Amino acid sequence: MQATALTDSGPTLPPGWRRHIHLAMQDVGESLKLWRLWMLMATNDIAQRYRRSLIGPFWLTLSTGIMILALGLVYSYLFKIPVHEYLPYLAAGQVVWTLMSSILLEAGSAFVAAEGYLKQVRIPKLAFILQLVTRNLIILLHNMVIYIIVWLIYQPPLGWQTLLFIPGLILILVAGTAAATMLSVICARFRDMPQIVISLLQVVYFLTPVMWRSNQLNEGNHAIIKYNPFLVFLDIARGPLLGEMPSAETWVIAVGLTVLTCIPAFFFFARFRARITYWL
Amino acid sequence: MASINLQAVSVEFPIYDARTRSLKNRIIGAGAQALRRIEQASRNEVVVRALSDITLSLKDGDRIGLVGRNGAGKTTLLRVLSGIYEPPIGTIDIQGSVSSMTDITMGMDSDATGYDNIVMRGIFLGMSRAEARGKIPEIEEFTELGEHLSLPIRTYSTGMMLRLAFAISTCIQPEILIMDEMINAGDAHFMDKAKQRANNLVKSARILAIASHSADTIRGFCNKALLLHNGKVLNYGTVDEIMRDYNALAA
Repeated sequence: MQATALTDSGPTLPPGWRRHIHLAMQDVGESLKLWRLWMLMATNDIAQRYRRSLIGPFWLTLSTGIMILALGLVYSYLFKIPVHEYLPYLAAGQVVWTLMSSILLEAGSAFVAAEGYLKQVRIPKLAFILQLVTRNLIILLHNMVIYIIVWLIYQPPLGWQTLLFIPGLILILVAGTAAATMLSVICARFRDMPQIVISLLQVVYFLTPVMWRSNQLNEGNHAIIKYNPFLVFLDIARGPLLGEMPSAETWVIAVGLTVLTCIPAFFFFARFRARITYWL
Repeated sequence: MASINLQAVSVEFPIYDARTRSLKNRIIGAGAQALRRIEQASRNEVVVRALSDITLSLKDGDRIGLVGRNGAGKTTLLRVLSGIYEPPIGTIDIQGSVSSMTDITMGMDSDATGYDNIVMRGIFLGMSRAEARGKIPEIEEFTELGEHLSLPIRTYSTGMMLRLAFAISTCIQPEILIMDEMINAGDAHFMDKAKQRANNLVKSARILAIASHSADTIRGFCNKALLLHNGKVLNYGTVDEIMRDYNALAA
């Protein structure tokens, strides 16, 4: 019904677009209905990676943990910030950053890796993006163990505002799904794109206050802090984990950015969805 | 009621060599002459026309055999009929549940056990976990794999693997069945069982589309046939008529 409502309300749309939009809505609906499938594929991805290893997926936790510990000790010394302040900050930031950056990185291979399925059966395409996002959510849950350990040791002040982590996380997942959809379509067509994304994300990592703090750069007034969309999403999830309340302004911008990602992503997906199989 | 309607469908595959497929090259190439260059590049795009102007209407009871030489477009047409390739030119309307049995081992995980694979493939076919588990006794009995089902399937022989894949793929009855050659699996003893199971599946499907080089398969299962040549329909009619044309073409 929704599909008809939307197509009927757009008499100015050329007929080709109506069809694209109708089929894209159908794809989204069918993908959501297949939740069992993408949840299973996501858990299998992780199970496969760590099969026959003793601690299994907790290697994820351990390797991130080692990195945070090493970076935390070195940088707290370099920046002259006390470890009990710096380590929780880094742990919370790194865990959230890993979620955001891996969703974008792995978008590069989402459809390419699914070629075996996409060319053998009729299957809604968004399901593979949902698989990717779910997989990274599972990894986040494993990495949260580090945050919890750090919290147990240093006990930063937490309160009810910590619960705001959950809506923050949901916004990241929604915006991440939209961005990954767009990116994975481009990456299926242009095979240099995944490499470009890798390089750009590395730069973004250094430009975004994950390892360093906003106030270290020009008292937080620098352009790369004020106009950094990654920082907005980082703040709404990391802030609550550190017992800080993200400002109302940050929330509004985060919601706005999410909407601004979803709308073009949908039209982009609608336009190119049917072509994906031909590009593989 | 199951049906498939193709209206003037053509399918073209763009061929991208390393140069056009890379966005970087496009941008660098476009640097000098901006948009004109990109337009030119897209006009120069090489395409392979795999199917050309196909109009076809299938309804309940139709069993269509696709014949044609290698590269005639049989597999591409099967993929269009399954809804895998959405044609850029022309329209297609598919009503009914489709099962395409072109790769029966699709989605199997070699490190997971036989039982796990049954559940996984079941979910893939749209079942719930419980429904998929419900299929286990039937598959146990059919495959005769016994204890092996609790071992990772990478320990299976090729024949055992095929038996399992075959049993799982054939455990739900689709309305529209798409096949690339008749599936068969296993040794002489198993072949008979498999043949019977496949025949039942084929007979219960409302619409069957099968591509085959075997005259026996086409004569045995189909009530109409279509001869493809270079992506075009050369003739569409009764099995006898089409097989005659096909043999004439091959001669």
